[in-house]
Amino acid sequence: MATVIVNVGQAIPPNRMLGSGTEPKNIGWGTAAGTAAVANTTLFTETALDLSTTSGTRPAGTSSRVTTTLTNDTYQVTGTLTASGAGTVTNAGLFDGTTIGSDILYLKGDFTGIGLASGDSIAFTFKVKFS
Amino acid sequence: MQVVEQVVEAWIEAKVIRADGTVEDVGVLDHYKRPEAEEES
Repeated sequence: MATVIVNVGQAIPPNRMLGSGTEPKNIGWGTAAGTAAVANTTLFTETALDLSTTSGTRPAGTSSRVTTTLTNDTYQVTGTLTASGAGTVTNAGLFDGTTIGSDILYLKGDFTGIGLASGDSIAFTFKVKFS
Repeated sequence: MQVVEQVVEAWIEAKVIRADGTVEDVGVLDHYKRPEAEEES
């Protein structure tokens, strides 16, 4: 089990400091097993809200600055994904775009599978703290 | 010369909300921390 900022995502903060790029606030989830690693560029079998569908769009989360240690030292994205088709969610991440199968992955984590029936939701909070 | 590395931490928190309204707080799924800052002289 791991949560990582992946290699391809490392360029996003410097790019954003220059006023370029796209904010990585779009939330993806996936259903295959695996341990997140920095070399990853995708989720493990990313799916749409219908957990049996591997194409479509990712929902945008709500981003903000929050305080963990020092004022506004943490980038936070929150979002609730509601399954429209049943499955087991095993990993999730943040992307700079909304198209499943495309865009740049920034943050990824895998976890013990969470079984969802249609209508069940996961409320995610992603946090990245700079210090 | 002192070199202080930037430290970045990342983590994901989750709550499962069942269709019937039941909430299961999964908590922090995992916590990433790039190696602690090191000093060189």
